[in-house]
Order: sequence, then C-alpha cells, then structure tokens
Amino acid sequence: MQINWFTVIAQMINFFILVWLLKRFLYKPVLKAIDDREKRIAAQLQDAAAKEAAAKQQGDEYRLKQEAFDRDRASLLQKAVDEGNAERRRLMETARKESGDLRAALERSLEQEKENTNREIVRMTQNEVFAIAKKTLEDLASSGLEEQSVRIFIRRLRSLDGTGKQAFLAAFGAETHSLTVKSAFDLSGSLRQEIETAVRDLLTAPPAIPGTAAPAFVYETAPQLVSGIELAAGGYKLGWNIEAYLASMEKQLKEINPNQVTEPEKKINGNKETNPVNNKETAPSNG
Amino acid sequence: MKLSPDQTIFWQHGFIHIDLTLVTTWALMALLSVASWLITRRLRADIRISRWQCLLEMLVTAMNDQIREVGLNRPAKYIGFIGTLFVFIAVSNLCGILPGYTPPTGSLSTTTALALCVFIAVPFFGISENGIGGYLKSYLQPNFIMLPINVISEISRTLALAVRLFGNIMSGGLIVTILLGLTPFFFPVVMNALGLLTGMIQAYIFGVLATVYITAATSENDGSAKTKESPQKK
Repeated sequence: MQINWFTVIAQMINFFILVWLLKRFLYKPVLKAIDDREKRIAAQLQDAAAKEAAAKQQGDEYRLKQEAFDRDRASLLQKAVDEGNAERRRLMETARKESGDLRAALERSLEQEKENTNREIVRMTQNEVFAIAKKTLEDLASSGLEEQSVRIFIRRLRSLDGTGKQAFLAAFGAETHSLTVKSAFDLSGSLRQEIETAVRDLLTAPPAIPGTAAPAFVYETAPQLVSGIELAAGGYKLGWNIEAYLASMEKQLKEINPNQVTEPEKKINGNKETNPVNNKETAPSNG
Repeated sequence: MKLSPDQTIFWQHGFIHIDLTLVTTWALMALLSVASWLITRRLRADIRISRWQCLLEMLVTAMNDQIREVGLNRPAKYIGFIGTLFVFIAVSNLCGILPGYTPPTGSLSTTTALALCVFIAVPFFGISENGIGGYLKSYLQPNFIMLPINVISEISRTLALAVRLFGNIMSGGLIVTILLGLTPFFFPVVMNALGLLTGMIQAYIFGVLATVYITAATSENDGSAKTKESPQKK
C-alpha cells in the first residue's frame, strides 16, 4: 500500500479537469435553467399580482359604479313612484270633480225634469179641472141658475162696503151715468127690475151723488160669463160669475208656484184660446 | 492479491505510467461529462421539463442546499469544487457493483490526490474571501499559541480525509473479495449492497467535510465551523 505520486498528481489534474467539465456541462446549465425558471415564475407571479391588483381595482370601480347605479335607480324609481302617485291623485281628484259635477248636473237635470213634470202635471190637472168645471157649469147653466146668480149679485151689490161703494160711485159719476149689465142669458124683465132697483138704492143712499138717481141701463148677453152677471160703469166693473172663482183659484195656484207659467206652458195656453174659460180681470165680488 | 488499482499498470515509461486508477478515472470523467452534456444540451426553463433534467436539478439543488446549510451563503461559487468531489466519489463508488470494476477511490493515491485538492482549495477560497492576511490570521485563533496546533490540524485532517476514504472503500472491496472465496453466493451480495451504502456515505462525508473546512477558512469566526468536523467522522 504505497502512494504513487505520479498517480496523485495525475489524479489531481484529472480532478480539476473534471471540475471544469462539470461546471461547464452540468452546474452552470442546470443552475441557469433553475434561475431562468425562477425568474419566469417570479415574473408570472408578479404579472399575476399586477393583474389581480388591476382586476381588484376594476372590481372596486365596477362595484362603485354598481352602487351608484343602484342609488340612481332607486332614486329614479322613487321619483317615478312619487310622480305616479301624484298623477294618480291628480287624476283621481279630476275624475272625482268631474264625477261630482256630472252628478250635480244630473241631479239638477233630474230635479229640473221632476219639477217640469210636476209643473206639467199640475198645469194639466189645473187645466183639466178648469175645463171640467167650466164644462160642467156650462152644462148646468140655465135661466133658473141665471136667476139665482142675479139674486146673489143683487145681494152683494146691496152689501157693498164703504170703499167699494165709493169706487163704484166715483166711476159711475165720472161717466155718462150709464150702466152696462152683461149676462150669459138674456135677463127677464123682473130680474132687470130688481137689478135696477138695487142700483138705484145704492146710488140714492147717502152720500148720494147728484144727478145719478136715474141711470141708463144697457143689457148685453155674454155667454162666456158662465151663469154670471157683470155690471160695468166706466172703468169700474162689478159682477159675479163662476169664472171669477176659477180665475181666483188659478191666481192662488200661481202664487203658490210662481214658476208655473213657462214658455211651453204659455204656448199651450196660446193653443187653447178657444177654451171658453175667460180670464177676465174682474174683481170678484167676494173681494 | 492486488489491494490497489495502482498496482495494475498498463504502460510505463520511467516515472510516467498509466495504471488502472487513471484509466478508470478517465472513463468516469468521460461518462460524467458526456452524460451531463447529453442531458443539459436541451435544458428548458419551462414548468414542464424532462425526467433527466428533473433528476439533475434535484441533485444540483440538493447539493446547493447542503452547502448553504453547512454555512456557505453563496453555494454557486463552491458547488463546482464540492459538488464534483461528491459526484466523482459517489459515481466511483456506485460503479463498484459492476463486475471486474475497481473503484479509483480504493487507491490511496486517488484519495490522497482528492485530499490534497481540498488542502489546496481551503486556503484558495479562504484567501479569495478574506484576503491572505485574514486567512493567515485564522491560524492564530483563538491566540498565537494555537498556531502549531492549527497547522498540525490542517495537515492531519487532510491525511484523515485521504485515509478515511481509502480505508473504507478499499476495505469494502477487500471484504467482498475475501467473502467471494469463502461463501460465494449470499454474503458477497449483502456486502456489495453494504458497499454501495458505505460508498454513498463516504462521498457525502467527504463532500461535507470539505465544505466544513472551506467554511471554516472563509468565515471570520472559524472556531465554530471547525467543531462540526468531529461528530460527522465515521
């Protein structure tokens, strides 16, 4: 067991050559490959981190935008809801007002219609009542009834109060001292005598007017008086007939319902001028 | 019986001769170089690599980590020397399973040469790191009285390196040879497997000790590094 120094030197040289060879063909390439890979991985990681950061930033931006969008949407939605509610309230109010107006107009129209109907019923009833009454009285009119009417007229003439008597005397004295007696039928002589007696008694009774003791009587027949009698002296008329009662009743009805006489009603009345009822302005004897 | 491949001489001219140790070493050098070239000529820096590249990267990375663990912070500077020591010794010993092969590390001349390389490399790296003054100052640590001790330690550890490797490898081969004569079937296989293990361990020990010596020489406080030698000796 000896050391061969030539072999030792040769092995040392061999070893250093081997060191160079392995550094050249083994360590450097492998270490370089490892370094390159680490650098590449580091670059990829860095790139990934940068992309992650960018993605996070973009995510944050999108989240902020989304939040802003949500806020705007909620605001717009709330605004639209408010506007819709306001519009709905306004439309409802308008519809309610129009409905109220329509209802009021309809109620007024119905009321008007009802009133018109009532008036028409009243008017027709009145006309029919008048027509029936007048027809009945005309049918019942006769000389006996005429006589009875004259007697009632004479009695009322005699019972004239002071004011009525003065008006009669004033009208009689201002005229030509003639009296016109109108009746539905021609009066008999006795009835004419009784009338003239009653008038003379009235004229001669104090305070009497001088020159009026012998008035002139003019007798006329007027069938429209309906069993009545009328004494006219100048502008004064004194009489009694059933037509006067009917006119008085019609006047009272008009006072109760002033709107009774309408345009259509007047037209209707105009068409019925042939009606025998006469609205003569004659003061009824009963006041 | 030839205990050393040095004794098998193929050609001789005076002092110069070519023996089995040199021939085997050249063959190993060619094998390592060609294999490295074949594998590393198509290295890729991608994520997906070949199996051979993966094996080489694991080997190099493991050596790098080992050098760093021992205390050298820049392993790329030392891996050429320390890694070649380990690879050469390991491959030389692993090839011992081949029939008729005699490992060059079974030659005292080879182990002496490797130990001398370490003996030269230690001051080389020490001076390159700390300068010649800093390196020489390490012999005066902890004080100048220790100078003879440090010099003797430097020489003796080199001798120990050489003898340790030679003794282990030579004895392993010798035992297998002896056992082949006594029990030719079973025990030589076991001893061969044991020889593989011993060879790898010796390669590791040689590399680590070289690293420790270099670390001690390149470190400012080399006292702690030198103490690591004793527990790792076999």
